[in-house]
Amino acid sequence: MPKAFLIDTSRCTACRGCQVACKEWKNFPAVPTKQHGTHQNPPDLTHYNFKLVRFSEHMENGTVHWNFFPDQCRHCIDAPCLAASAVPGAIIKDEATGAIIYTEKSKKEDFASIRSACPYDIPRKDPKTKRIVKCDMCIDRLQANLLPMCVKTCAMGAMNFGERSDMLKLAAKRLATVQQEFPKAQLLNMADVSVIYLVADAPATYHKFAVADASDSTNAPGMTRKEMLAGAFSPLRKIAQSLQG
Amino acid sequence: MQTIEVETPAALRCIETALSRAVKDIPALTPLLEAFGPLLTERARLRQTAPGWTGPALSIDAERFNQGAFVLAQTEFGGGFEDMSELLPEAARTLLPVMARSFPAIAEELTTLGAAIESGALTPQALAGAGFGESVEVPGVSPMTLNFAASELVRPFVERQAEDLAAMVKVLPWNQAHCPVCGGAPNMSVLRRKEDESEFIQAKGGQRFLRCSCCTTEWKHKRVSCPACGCEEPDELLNLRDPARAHERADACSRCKAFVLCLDTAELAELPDLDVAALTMLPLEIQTRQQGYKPLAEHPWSSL
Amino acid sequence: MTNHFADIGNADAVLIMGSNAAEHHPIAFKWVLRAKDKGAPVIHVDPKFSRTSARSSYHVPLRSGTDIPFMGGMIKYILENELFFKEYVTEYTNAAFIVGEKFTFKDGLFSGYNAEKRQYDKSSWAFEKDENGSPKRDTTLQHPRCVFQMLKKHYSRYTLEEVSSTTGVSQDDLLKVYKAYSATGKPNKAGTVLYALGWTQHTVGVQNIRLSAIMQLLLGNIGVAGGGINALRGEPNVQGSTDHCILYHIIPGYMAMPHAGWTNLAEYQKANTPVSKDPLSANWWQNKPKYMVSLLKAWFGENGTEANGFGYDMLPKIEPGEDYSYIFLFDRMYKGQIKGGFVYGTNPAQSAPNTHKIRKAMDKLDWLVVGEIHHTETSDFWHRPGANPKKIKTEVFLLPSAQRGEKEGTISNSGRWHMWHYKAAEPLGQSKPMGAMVVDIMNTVRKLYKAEGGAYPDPILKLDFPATYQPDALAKKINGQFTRDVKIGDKEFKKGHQVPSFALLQADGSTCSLNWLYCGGYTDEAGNLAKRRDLSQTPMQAAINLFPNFSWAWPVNRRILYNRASVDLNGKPYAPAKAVIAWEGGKWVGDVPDGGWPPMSTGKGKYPFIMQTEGHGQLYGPGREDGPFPEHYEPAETPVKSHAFSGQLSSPVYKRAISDMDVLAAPADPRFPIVLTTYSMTEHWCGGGDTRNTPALLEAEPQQYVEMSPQLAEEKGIKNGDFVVVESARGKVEAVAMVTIRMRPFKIQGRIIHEIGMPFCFGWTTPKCGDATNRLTPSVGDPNTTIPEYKASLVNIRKATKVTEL
Repeated sequence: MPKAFLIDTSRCTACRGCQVACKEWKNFPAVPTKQHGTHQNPPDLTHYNFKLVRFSEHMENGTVHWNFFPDQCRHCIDAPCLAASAVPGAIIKDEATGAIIYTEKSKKEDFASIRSACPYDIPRKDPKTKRIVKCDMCIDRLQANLLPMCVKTCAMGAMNFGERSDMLKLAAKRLATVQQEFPKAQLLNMADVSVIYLVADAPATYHKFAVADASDSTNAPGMTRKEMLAGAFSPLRKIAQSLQG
Repeated sequence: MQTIEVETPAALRCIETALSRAVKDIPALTPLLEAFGPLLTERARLRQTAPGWTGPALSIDAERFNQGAFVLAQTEFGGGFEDMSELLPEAARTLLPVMARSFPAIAEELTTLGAAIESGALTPQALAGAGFGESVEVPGVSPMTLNFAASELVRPFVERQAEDLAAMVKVLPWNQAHCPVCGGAPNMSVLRRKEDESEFIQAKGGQRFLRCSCCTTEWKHKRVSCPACGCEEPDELLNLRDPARAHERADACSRCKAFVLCLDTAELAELPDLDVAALTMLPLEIQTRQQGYKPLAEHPWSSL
Repeated sequence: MTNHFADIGNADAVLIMGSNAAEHHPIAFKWVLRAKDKGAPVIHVDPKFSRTSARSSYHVPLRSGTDIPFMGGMIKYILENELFFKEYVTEYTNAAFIVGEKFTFKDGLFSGYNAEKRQYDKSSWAFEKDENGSPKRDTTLQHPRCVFQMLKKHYSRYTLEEVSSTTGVSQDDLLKVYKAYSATGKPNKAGTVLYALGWTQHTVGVQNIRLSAIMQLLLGNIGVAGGGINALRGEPNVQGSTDHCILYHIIPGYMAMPHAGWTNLAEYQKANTPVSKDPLSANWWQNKPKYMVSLLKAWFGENGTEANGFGYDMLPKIEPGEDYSYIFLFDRMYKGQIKGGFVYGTNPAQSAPNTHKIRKAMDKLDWLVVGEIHHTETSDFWHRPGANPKKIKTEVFLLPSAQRGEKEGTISNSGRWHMWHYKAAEPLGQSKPMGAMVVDIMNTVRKLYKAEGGAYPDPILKLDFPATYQPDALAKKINGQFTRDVKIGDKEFKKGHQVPSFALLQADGSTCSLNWLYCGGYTDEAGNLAKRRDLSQTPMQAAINLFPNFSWAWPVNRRILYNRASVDLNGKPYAPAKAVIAWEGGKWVGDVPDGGWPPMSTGKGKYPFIMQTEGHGQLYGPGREDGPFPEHYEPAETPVKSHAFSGQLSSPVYKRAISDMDVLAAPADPRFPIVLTTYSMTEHWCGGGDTRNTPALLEAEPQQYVEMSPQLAEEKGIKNGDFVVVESARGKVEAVAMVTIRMRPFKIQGRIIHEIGMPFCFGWTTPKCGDATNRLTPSVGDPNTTIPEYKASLVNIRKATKVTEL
């Protein structure tokens, strides 16, 4: 049974418990950071930060909107990075959970092509081990029937995890509630990903890659993988739309 | 009284996944799991089709209930579950063969018992009586086997009725350590995460629910306290556990030497069936007994 | 808090001022949102848009230090629109009291001002008394000198125009808040006020809270469920440490610190025990002598006898009128008057104002003991940047402290709940709880005195002092015991038994108690009530989320203070749906009432505000140092030259240290045109001593920053992320510019005034994270409490060409 996350950003307060818990569970050292004019730190995902709370703000009709986005790998259902993989066994999908896992063999992958394949700009390279790295859905914990660390630690109820079917139901329910206060609320790329975000505002006001980026700088002829992903052919999309109303 | 309602179809799936996970995680328990697994599954199946409470809607005196008078103690007609004896012969036809396969040592006795039920030598009423602990004699069947089999037979019907009865007192406060429906003692407990979407901060540790050994009703009970003697002194309350399976614990009280098994689900990705969970906790249960603690109530396999 | 956390959910309106509750009190905020879910407007008034603002119904930005005009305008609005709760105001507050003829208020000054001493002689503020010595009253509220009329007159000057031009809040926003909040003046409605250091850390800190009390009394919001004035304390046990006298001017249980003017116990008791001849006034403090003698007996045991004032004679006494608080303690240290000292769990070289002076002051010490978990700017002051360790004589001892989870004991939360916490792990290495350090050190000192004698060893040797630190034994003694067999009324008590309630404490030495407020919390019958976790309650208690059997609250397990004001004269709740107490069948049900007397209508009742001598809520408060009515004064450092309310620019009585290092910017000083406010942040705990040593948290918040509006940034040619220097009359701080729309310019007196905000948690012992923000803030304080004015001072900001701290 595939699993899914529902990340309800309307409940996120950017306490960054998930960001810290993620790296503590994985025993990653702190990366040296600098203040650069925002609370968002480190500025981007790193090989030691698989989860990052992004901060963004804008003014609308004299009211401040301060949006928080706990960014992480979406564990796509048809993962473009897996399709782009040139090394067998380097990027695999755990069928039991739907987790996309980068293995030891990812050392041999071409990092640039894997990263550019990702519509959410998630993969990073560990300069020491040369592996390509990202969130692995806490597969070690899942195999021991434990919740992913970010979900366990979230005090606000923003991070939810479970059977995909259950999460889709929860997503629809929460969307209906949040839309009462925030008419722009929506679920992001729900049909295509295992990590579903609920945002209360236009996705671009959260993060450039909050929704799948369909552009491709390489401009290859034909349909790029990102376009495929952004395209509306996934069978699940219909269900998603019916749930979203 | 805050109770947890379990959807039945999900419950079946839950048993299966819990069983296969348990077999994978603790190979040493395989024989036991293989013995009781089919029994639990069959019982769950029977429960699905069992009728609920068909008696009158009960008028519960909230004040008496608050002071510990459980639902069945407040019924006007003798204080028991509704008679399900007529349904037992049919249930025996599916359940007894499953038990016979699972427990070869008593297979012959179970076959004899089945025949006695079919022939009418053992009336449904007497069978139900045996299920509730009355001493009934059937030639060729030991009293132990008879009680074991009969109680497993009535259990799905009891559980299903209890579900309906528990719903009638859902909103009333209940602070006792015995079952709010039938007055039974708990043989299992579970810490559950509280989901409340109106809350800014979600409780992480979870509330404790005690689970009735007779009818599996669950009710919320103060977490840091001994359900047997009420002791609240943390120094006296122990959590015995295997560090490798930290979510399984025996909550023991050094003051009164009682314990109740506890499954901490706060961090679990999937909630296992609680009977299977209790079954996988048998090694812990045995260790706890060896340290001189006694359970508030037993499981069918406790004495094996 | 007059109320408690779970009670916030009962509010019909929530006013959060001077607090960033969502970030700093997340659990308290959960109850705020519960009220919001039920339809209560949640109003956040604060200079900065924070995560609290994001979760509130609306955010109203206001210039730091202008809370009094903001609320003064609300008082005017409530009075002029007759939105106050008339019966409550007439019966339960001092609205009807007549103020004496000598009282005057002219151009920002109350009568009795002595400019030389910067002090008021408060005698002219007294009420007019009748032949019994009780205040005269006019319950028609028409007498021109009755408090109600005086209040109306005082705040009539706080017009929307002037308030708006002073605070920077638009008139529309003012009206929106006034209207929403004053709707709680209806008898069955309640509004709660939540505040934190944003109100207290001002030269008018106490008057900020006083004015909220006036507002709440007018609206009948004190003593009721979902009401009250609720301080969200900045640290889990601030309430407990205050109850047990962390401040210099009190001893445990809020009794005055003995001073040299009270030479013996009788003089102390006479000066500190209020007298009321009104039979309807409980005047609870008349019991003070019992609490004082019990405290002395707890300190001196058998050695405290009637002959030596139960040990009073041996107590050290402060000089009358002297201030021994932080600001002045370090001022004395700076002037070489202090040889050494102990610092536990605080980091003055980082978190005290005008930190350059604090650090220099420490250079003058011979010795310093610091009990800490990590090295801090205080323990390591002698090798701070710019200091030459060879020239600093101070010998520093760093004692390793146990962490919270490594010790047992109690904390008292903001709602006065007394809760036991258990030790989870043994302390690491040689670290010890602070209590153990103090007991062990003191016992060594006692041994030395015993062996070697001294000038006056009695106060040390005659103490009833434990041989070892035992939290449980201490908790029992805090409750108190009988020191001999006694008979009180028809009840007999044995020596050594726990005193069941503070009503049984005695002034004759037969009882001891380390803190009368906690008496009744640890009894022979029930044991240590701080350990209770019982959730049982009656339906009436359930309706207001009151859990009387969970932990124990001082006093006498009362959860909502002044709850006799929640019922009418017949004992009938004003808000039946959320009744706190009710008189039913000849007894009180619900919460523990403020005294068990029957309702007022029986003639045997008592006024509800039992801690006040006259028993009434003080709209007019003649006891404060800076006036009976809160009045707007600008902060000690202000960006304006004058204000509309009077010619008195800043508080005439605020406290200030005077030394070559205590420089203040002039009003509207062109060198320092920008207002600075300072605050905590989520990722770092208080001064950051713990959390800067937690790598993953430092990764998330690594360096000093300054939050400023895009408008100011543009004016100063600063871009987001630039290095900047923030400078005040006292020092400079390097920081990274965080240009954000969450800070806004204020339109004050027709011109733009900018405000910036900085966290105070960064210090030099963490490399390259920046250094103390408090090098900027001034050593000025509130005249009642001397709490420093961290929340409003003047600075300038410029782009830095080179930085060394970051």
